[in-house]
Amino acid sequence: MGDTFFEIIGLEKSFRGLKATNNVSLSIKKGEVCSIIGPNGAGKTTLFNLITGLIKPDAGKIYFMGKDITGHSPVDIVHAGIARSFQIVNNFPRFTVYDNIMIAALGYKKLAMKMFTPAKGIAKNEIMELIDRIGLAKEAHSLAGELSHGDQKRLEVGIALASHPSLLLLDEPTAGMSSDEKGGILETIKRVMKESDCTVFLCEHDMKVIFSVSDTIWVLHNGAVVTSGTVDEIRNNSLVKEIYLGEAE
Amino acid sequence: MSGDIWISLLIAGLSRAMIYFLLASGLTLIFGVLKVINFAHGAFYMLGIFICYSVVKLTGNFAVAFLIIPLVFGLVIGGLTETVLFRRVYKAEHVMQLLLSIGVTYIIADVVKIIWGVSPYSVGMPEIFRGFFSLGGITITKYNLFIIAISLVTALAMFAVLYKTKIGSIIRACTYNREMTMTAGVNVSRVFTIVFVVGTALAGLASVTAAPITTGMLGMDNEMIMIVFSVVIIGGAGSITGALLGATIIGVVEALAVPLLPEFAEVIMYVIVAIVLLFKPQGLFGKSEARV
Amino acid sequence: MDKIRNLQAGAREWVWYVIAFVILMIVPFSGSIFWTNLLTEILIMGLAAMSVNLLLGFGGSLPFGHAAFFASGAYATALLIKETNLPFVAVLIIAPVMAAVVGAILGIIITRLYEFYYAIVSAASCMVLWTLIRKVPIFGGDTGITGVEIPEILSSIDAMYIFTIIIVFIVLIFTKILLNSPFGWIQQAIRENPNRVTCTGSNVLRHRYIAFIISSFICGIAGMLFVLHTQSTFPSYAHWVKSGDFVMICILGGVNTFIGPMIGAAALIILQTYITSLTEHWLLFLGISICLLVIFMPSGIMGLAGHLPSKIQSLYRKIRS
Repeated sequence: MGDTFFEIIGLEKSFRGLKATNNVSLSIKKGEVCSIIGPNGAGKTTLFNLITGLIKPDAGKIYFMGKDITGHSPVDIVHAGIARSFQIVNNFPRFTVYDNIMIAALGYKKLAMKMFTPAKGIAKNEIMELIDRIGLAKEAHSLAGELSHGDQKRLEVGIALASHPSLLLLDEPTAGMSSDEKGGILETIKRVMKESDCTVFLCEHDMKVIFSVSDTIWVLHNGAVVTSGTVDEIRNNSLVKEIYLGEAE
Repeated sequence: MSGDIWISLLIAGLSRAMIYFLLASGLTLIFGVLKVINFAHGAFYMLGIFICYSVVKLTGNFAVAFLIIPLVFGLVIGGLTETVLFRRVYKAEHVMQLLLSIGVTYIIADVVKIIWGVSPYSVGMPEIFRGFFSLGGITITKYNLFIIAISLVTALAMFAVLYKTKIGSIIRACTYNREMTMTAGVNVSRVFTIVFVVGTALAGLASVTAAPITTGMLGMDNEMIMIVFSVVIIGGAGSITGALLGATIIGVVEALAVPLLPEFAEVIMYVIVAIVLLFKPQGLFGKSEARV
Repeated sequence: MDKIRNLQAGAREWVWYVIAFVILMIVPFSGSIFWTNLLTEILIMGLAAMSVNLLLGFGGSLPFGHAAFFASGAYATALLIKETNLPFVAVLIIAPVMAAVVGAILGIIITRLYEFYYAIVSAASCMVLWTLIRKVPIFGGDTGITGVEIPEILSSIDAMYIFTIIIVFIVLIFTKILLNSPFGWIQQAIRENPNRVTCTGSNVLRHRYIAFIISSFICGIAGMLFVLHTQSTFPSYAHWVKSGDFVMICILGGVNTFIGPMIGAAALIILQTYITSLTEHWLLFLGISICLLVIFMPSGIMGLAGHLPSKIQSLYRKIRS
């Protein structure tokens, strides 16, 4: 397994007999944008939760940079280099943007137990730079809960980036956004990838977004991988159309 | 001690357990639907016992007290507490709800002190329940048998209402997913009031059932509420089945612990709580939530 | 959703603490034994409430069992002085440590829990202690331990008061530094969103546990001071009703502020002293007050005071226009 950047082999997870993740195997190469698509309830978020350790798989293995991280705690997985954003807005609403990023930075630097230095002084430049990169420099001292939905989604990405991930998991980063906002956050993601040398694993509903950024696409349906391929391959795949049309009916 | 005595103790413990169940079922029902833990439930219990004393003294008839008190108690005390106080804090932080119920506890405690004074009262055993049955060496008092019977009937009635009626299915839906039920066009406010009234009526029922074998005195509310809380968390908050099981465990262990370690029966109860929670943090029948 | 407010521990309040410290130090010279005594009690109860607020307001937990640590500190102090020949300074250190040890034991279960389970189990665990204190002979049973001798130097009311102020302010400064440190920030982040904290690489369970031990240590200091102040200790210190008092003080003062618990303690104790001199029905009064407080003033005295400047401003604008 040593040479693959990220690999999942035969991952299984059931909830009350319902297979949310059914024998999923996939791999991601370093430096690519890998996307996962599938209709609602296909098991995308469950897969992300399994990768980040929020839930434990029933069977299967997850390898990251040659290490077996299956069943590790969410904290260990962050420190191994996998960070994620959430589909729903999931920040610290009564903290400012700066403080939100700071919490993540403190976690990354393993400073949570440091008791006698002021937190505000730690990694100030680094945090401001990151806020600038996600395009929230003006809002740095606004409360997160009072940001617009689009800005909260940006912050979501920012919190994940503060963990300096080698693999960044983005769970529907454009959900609930207007098309303008979508364009903005896509730019941000592309720029971030270039600047911080991280690989992106994207879960998304919007096909336009997927087709514009992805290198590889995996299609999930009823918890199982149906097919995978490049943008063009997936665009013309009849099975994928069927799955999505089936949902539309 | 011989086996017969242990069995007698066990049955006595079981009847004690059923009082706990009656109280815990009301508390857990209210928690399940309203998501409010009512510290005042113990005070309701104490108030019920004192009212029972006065009604029995006035009418000279335990049956009257037994039939009327739970009903009136639920409607008046439960209805007032819910509509005047609790209704205003459902959206507040949970500590506010807890504090409010502690406030109600203080008010009731002082009202009891004002009306009945500080000396203990006891209702006395009604004529027909005096005496006991013997089966070989096993003795069961008539009243303990009555307690077990009345509680099992109540439990059955609760399950019947919860699983066979419309209001029951709404209550279960609220317990399972309140937000979803709220959006499904249910008059949640009325459901809350009904549940609170029923829960409080169950506390009243527990009071009148316990009255003949309990001495009513100030401070009993604080001790009872901790026992009932233990029952609820062992069983899993919100679960009637859990309350039944939790009450049985606590009641029986207490009954058996008293002759063995008379001083530390209460501590043993808490140790059980600790052990259960170490292995099942949501209680035996609790709804497990994804927490990290 | 109500308006989102910034709830961080402010950093630039030092000046107020210096002023408060100086004013408090002057009180003994006014010659009023009544006020000196009352202020000693307020400071101690405020400290205990502050330890509760570390978990309640700043940690988002529902600690309804801090009476256990208050009592641990109190009984440890009383027993160490009565039963051993340890130097006084050693007692001052060992007693809070004992409370922290109790916290470390009880915390194993409590800090794994959330919400009502946390509240109930913490309340239940202080009842375990309450039972033990009443039943184990060395703790003096229902009558508690009285006649705890304190060193000559602290025997006057004024000296005890000054000693209390110094200890309380040292702990306040420590707490303030703690809340502004990474530890304190993560603690507040856990209140906001524990799952997110986990996903940014901080161990929430460990954090809650350590915070719990620190909080019980501080509460132990309060218990210790109270024994030195009253020279006696009773089982009721461990009763959950006492824990309820601490929480009540926090809410009254305002859980979202650092100094709220102190203000709450002052308000409650002064009120209690006044009301109990009028009527014996303090409990009824307290109960009604709690109901009114929760319904009409949920952000407490400090919350109200915080809104005041903006209220006055808007009033001023109205008058001008």
